[in-house]
Amino acid sequence: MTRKTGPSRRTLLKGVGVSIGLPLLESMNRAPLLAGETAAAAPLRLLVVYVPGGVNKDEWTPIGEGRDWKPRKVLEPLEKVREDVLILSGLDSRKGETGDNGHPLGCAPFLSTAPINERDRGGFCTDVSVDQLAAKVLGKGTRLPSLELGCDPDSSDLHYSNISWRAPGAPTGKEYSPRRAFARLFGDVQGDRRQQSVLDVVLSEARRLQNRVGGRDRQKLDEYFESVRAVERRIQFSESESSKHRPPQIDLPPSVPERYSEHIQLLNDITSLGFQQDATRVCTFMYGDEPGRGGWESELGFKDHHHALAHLNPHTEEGREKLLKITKIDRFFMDQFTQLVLNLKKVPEGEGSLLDNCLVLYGSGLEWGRKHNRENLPLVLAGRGCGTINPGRHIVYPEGTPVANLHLSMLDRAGLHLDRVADSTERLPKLNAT
Amino acid sequence: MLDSPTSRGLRSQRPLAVFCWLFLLGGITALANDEQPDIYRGEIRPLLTRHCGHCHSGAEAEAEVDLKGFTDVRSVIEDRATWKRIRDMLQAHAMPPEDEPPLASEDREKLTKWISAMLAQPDPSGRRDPGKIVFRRLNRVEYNNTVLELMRLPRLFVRNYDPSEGAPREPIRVSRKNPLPIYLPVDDSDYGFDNIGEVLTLPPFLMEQYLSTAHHIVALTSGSAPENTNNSSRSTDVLTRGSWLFKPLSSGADPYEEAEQRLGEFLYRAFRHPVDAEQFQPYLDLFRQVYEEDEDFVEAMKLPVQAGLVSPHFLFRVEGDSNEPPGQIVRVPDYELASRLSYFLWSTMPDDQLLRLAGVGRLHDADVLEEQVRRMLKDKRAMGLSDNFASQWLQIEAVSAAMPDPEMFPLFDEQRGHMLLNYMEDEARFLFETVMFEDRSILDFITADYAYLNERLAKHYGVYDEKFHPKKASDRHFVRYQLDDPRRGGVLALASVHTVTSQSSRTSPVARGKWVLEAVLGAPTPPPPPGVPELDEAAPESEDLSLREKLALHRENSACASCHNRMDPFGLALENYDPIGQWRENDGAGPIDIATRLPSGEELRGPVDLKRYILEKRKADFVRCLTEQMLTYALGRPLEYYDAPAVEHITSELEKNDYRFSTLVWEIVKSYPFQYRRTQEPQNDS
Repeated sequence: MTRKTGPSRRTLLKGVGVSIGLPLLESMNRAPLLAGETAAAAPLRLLVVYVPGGVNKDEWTPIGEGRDWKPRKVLEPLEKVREDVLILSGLDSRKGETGDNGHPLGCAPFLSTAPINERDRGGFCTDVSVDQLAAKVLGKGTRLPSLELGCDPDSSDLHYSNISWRAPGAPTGKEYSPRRAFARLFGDVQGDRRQQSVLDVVLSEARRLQNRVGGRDRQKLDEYFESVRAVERRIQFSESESSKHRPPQIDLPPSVPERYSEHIQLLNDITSLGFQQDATRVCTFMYGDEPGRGGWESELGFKDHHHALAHLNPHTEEGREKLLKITKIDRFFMDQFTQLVLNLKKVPEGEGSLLDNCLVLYGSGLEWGRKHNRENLPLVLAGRGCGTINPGRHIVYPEGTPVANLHLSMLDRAGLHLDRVADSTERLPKLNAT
Repeated sequence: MLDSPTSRGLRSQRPLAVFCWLFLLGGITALANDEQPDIYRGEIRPLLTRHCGHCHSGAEAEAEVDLKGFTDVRSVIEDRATWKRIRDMLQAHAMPPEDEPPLASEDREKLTKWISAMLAQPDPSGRRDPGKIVFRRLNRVEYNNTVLELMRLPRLFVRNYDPSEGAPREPIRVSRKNPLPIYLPVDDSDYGFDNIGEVLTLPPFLMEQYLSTAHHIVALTSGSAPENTNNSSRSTDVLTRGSWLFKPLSSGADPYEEAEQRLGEFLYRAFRHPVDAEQFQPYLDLFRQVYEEDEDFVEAMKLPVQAGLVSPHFLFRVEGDSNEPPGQIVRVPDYELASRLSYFLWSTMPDDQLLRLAGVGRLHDADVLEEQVRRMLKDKRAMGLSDNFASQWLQIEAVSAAMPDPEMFPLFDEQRGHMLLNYMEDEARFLFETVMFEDRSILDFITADYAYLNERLAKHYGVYDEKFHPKKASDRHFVRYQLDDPRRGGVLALASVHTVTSQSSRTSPVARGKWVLEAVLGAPTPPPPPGVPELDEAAPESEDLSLREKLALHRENSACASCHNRMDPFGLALENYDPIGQWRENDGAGPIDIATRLPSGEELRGPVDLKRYILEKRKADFVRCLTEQMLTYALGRPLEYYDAPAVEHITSELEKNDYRFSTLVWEIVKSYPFQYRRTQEPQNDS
């Protein structure tokens, strides 16, 4: 009699540049169970994938509703996983924002739970984001409470380059190097025991300092403490796991891949590996920062900058050509995303797949790049959320439904039941309808 | 909006609240206090009662702002913290809320201007507030420079000349090597700069990087770099030269004495202040812990050094941690002053001379201080001020990431275009350094008749001629060029500025106008009110109109007019510069109409005329603008209403001293907010 005990050795990481010999069984690598969690119940994993600059909505919106949807050009790749995704139409970004530039206004508050009219110093409604709230619950038992990834390094403006916030105006920061991302998830914290004694020294120093200061200085030190403690926690995890756990062996290129698709796929792979090994349960991944990038030669055969293309005049021949290129970019991102969904689907977990226990939101904070508008956002929800989502449909919500309703429903599934976030009016219906 | 002034990563929120109070400062502060009640009682108060009194009056007032209590001007001046909040809310269009009757834009402007003027009044009690600078985390440039200085390793200077050796020998070689050997993520920035204590955060993500970076630095400088470093793609050569800290123990030396001596010096310099025994002991213990295991001196030195590099005393610029009485105003102690000076002028830690003077308590002596400032301004490390301050003041850090349309500008089809963007940034820094190192007038920033150019830039500007050959300008080498054409020279003519204020295929007069207001005139505009449509959407039939006509249409909307009337004319005056800063007479649609009219009714005819206008009519505004920007950078905090007298004093000294650059720096160093600070707030452990 055979019983399925874990993933096959080569189910994962078909992505470029990665090969892996998996010596691991899922059952061996689960984090300690939380109170109330039974061995049978797989934990929920939450992932948000962000794409910059809106889309060509004409080629995005599927034909038909409910189960009878047909994709247009951009969503075509999703045919491969059509029974695992929901296409969500009609959801609006938060109301009441002021400002002149749709890019940061779409991006920075994309997941923010800040009440309307509560702005950070930069004038944007950023407060603790949905993923960071979820991490407080889902991340309790994992090595990293949450993982933040993005393909663009070093943006000069935080509101163009962050969707994940710890507090108003305080981003989590994100990692673009596959090597470093991998090290964060699986690497040994350098120096282990010795490292701990280093932390002991600086913590006692910070404590001494803390006794002498007040006000904002004290808050700065509190932040220092919190951050050092997060590192300590990782050390403790790596020690407690070390007897039974060795990190997955994968070949990572020494530097960040030149090709955009390779870069995304590597980080896609690390994300699914992190979920599979239960090293983290919450992740945000920005495929690109606002307002998008240029240099699409090797991928799509043109050099135009995403943002420059988006500012098009649809009434001219030139504008129509630009729109075709925008469609190609939208499609490029969707191909990458579909690959990620397939990765997750390939990993067996419990009776089904890892994807069944995921809640994956894909989307942009703008509808059309051209208009910079933030109504009717392009959004896809993948996975079954541990049986709380019934995918395979295109749901059209009434005009003006706040996307915050979706956030509220996502948090419910993460185990955090709030009355409202941002401008939410109710929990989003129909996600689990048949 | 017609287009986004942030089109190329230009920072979206310049210090909008901070500098506005200067807008009318000159006019209103002159008015005697007793003339004010009429304006307050007659206009301001009724306006506020009408629009805000509904929620903000009486004991139950919202946000604890009770407008009823402010019966006269004196009561306003006595509670300026509240009035600053009121002003900021009005300016950000955050109040009145949407469901209240709207406040007309003239009224909003009237209110904010009046409040701003009140904020700038001297305190009736005669007390001055120097402010309190929140602990500043070292930003990544400061971190890099500090590590190199601390380990006594050479800092890489991109522009290869040494001002302490007199006039630079031309041509000046400009390196393209990344001057930062250590990789850290970009810092949070606000109020125009990335060194603001309030703003710089330290998330767990960054703490992990500090730890692994400390490990890495120690490995490299002790000559035991691991095979696979996480910084392998960066230029780390300089770190591999090894540090004095990790020299092997000479024979016969006592390892504990030696460790104590080296670590003592290391921590004193790393923390930029003396270290007492209680603080020192744990570091020695770390050494002992490892040394007792295997008696390897170099190995045992690593751990305490690593700890020093992640200590809060290293990562933060700690001010006021000694036992000072809370809530007082004190002169900044010498060690803190040394750090204030060195991070302001050099973007690094104090050198041995500064620390020594601080140690003997002489640094604050006026003559010693002046001599030090003079020395620092002739030092190569002062290039930190042009690399960091100047680039942020001029908002050109984003230029190297600009994406001009390659169809329009074939140069940008390839690497050459990207290099040109780098050269543009070099040019701006050279301009700043010329004024700094030659102690020229800061008005040169408007009127300079010289520029440092390389071959590519000279061709770009169309001034490449025989004068360049004997000087051997190439792409790597810059030479000083005497400009005889007033269309070039000064910050208004910098291609880097024109590029960051353009979209990829066209200029943005709005972004350029906004830039002039922010970087030159110090009168930034607030963000647009909510619900204002982009012109393209509002009037699709306008697609055949020229940019200028679209802007004119936009200004007809009164919601847009109040700001666009101020921004657009300055941007239109620069229309002769194309999206990459080349001169043009024609913008593709037809000849450029260079005439524009300011709200004052004055006509401007192109960039040369704009320079004349600034010099003749707005000189004081420019001087004040640069003063405020540099003071913000020097303090690492946004300016407050109580800083107004300091700004006034600095600008008046500049006027008396031919606007010398050294006067600007020296007066900032001497200023009340730089020399004094509040002590720690009393603790409350609620």
